[in-house]
Amino acid sequence: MIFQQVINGLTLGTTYSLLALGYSMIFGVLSFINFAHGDIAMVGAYVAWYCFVGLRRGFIPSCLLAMLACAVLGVTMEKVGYMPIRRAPRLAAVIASLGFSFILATGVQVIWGTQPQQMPPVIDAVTYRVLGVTFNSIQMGVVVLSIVIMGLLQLLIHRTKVGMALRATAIDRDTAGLMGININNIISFTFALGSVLAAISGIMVAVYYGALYPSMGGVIGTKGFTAVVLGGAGSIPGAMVGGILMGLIESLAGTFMPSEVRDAVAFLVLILVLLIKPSGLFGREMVKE
Amino acid sequence: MLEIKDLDVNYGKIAAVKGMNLEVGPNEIVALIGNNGAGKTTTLKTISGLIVPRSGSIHFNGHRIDRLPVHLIASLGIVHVPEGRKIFGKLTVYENLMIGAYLQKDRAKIQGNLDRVLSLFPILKQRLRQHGGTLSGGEQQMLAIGRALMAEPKLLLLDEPSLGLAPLVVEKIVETIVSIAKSGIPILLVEQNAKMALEISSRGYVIETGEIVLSGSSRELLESDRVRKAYLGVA
Repeated sequence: MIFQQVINGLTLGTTYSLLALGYSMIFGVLSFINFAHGDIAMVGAYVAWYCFVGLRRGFIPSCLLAMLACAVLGVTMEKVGYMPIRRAPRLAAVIASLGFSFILATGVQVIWGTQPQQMPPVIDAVTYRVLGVTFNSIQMGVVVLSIVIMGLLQLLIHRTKVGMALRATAIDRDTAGLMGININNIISFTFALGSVLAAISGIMVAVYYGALYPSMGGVIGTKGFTAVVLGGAGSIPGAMVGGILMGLIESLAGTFMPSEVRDAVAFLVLILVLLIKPSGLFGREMVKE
Repeated sequence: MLEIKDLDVNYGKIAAVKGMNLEVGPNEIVALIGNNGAGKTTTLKTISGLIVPRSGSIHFNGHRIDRLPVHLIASLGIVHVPEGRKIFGKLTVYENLMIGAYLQKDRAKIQGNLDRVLSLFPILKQRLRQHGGTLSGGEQQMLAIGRALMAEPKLLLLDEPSLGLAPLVVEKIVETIVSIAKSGIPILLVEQNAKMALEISSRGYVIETGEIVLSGSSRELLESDRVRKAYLGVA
């Protein structure tokens, strides 16, 4: 029973990690939590669903299109909404992001309706049973793909020139500019990358539950955000570990508590972390900033 | 090389620099001295594009640069070593140096520059894998200068390179500054340590509450009453 929940939690957790990475990277370079990030994931799920079901394209091309759409959306959001207020207090950016969150959720309702949509199975899920624990090929796919993506992201950030520029920009934007780094390009790149990861995360959640709905951005966004707080804001490994922990906590809590309170567990974790260790497991303290 | 004309810089409504005229020619060290808050750092930040001036102009090798974004000014070869060194604390010493070479494309040249910097500051060689934030103040200043040299500067802006360092370390930094200038890189040196700055520079400017109140050859300045009283502590 416990092992079963661990498998389920791991699957959910890795999708939260992908989402948390975007929150964390954007926090790293611009020092604010982009509350529209979960909604970007939701838009990604909708675009992929619409292409796949509505336009009857292949699943992979549908996903690629959703990733591209989200990258464009994320970069546009930054240029239109966040760039003009970059030097303003960070609360202004947080409020702007709440505005974007509403715009995206409402926009999707206008285009695709308020009712949940069904995500058909993308592959014939094969179920495996090992030592009394059941898991299927979708779960395996989600976990393996997430881990591969996180590995590639680590390489990008620590082994490439653009990754080095990204880290330098996160540490000190002005001095990074003095090195000849085009800060605006790095910030756009961060939003594009974060949004692509969000799209993947949103699609994974939709495929895993077989459904998508306009307010899912807020639901998974909260989990991703809590994962960031838990792991430590601005820390890449923190986002990964925080996401997986969130998935595990949620899944195990679902075992011992009625499933309706499952989503509330994220808030409980959020409050506990902020009370006990506001800097999270690996990161810098966010409350002051 | 560098020509500043009638420069005005404001912070909100407060005038930080007023009607400044300043020049740096090839192969010279020019000192800009003055007290805390006189406008020295503001001047350097305006040259490198971190602050946009209210009026006036800045030209560098014929280009007008006072409205350009920071990274484009850097790409022209103006390299600013900011006050407080501003080392990237969570990047390794090696990465700090490589980020100095961010705009350099030629790998062989980058390697050559790296070797030169490490022979100039051998201590950094032992620290390459350490985080920049773990270095001592003196080592960080060496790293900041090394990082700047990796960019192959055509003009070096140094903001308070001696601040907070032990006398022996200051000596080493001064030696380095002089040798960089000898290698053909002009330097605009901002210092509170007026004596040191005027001893190694050819010309100097004295700035008080945003205005240049005195300028001339460094030797003349060292001997002028005003400088001796206000900056050298001689009654």
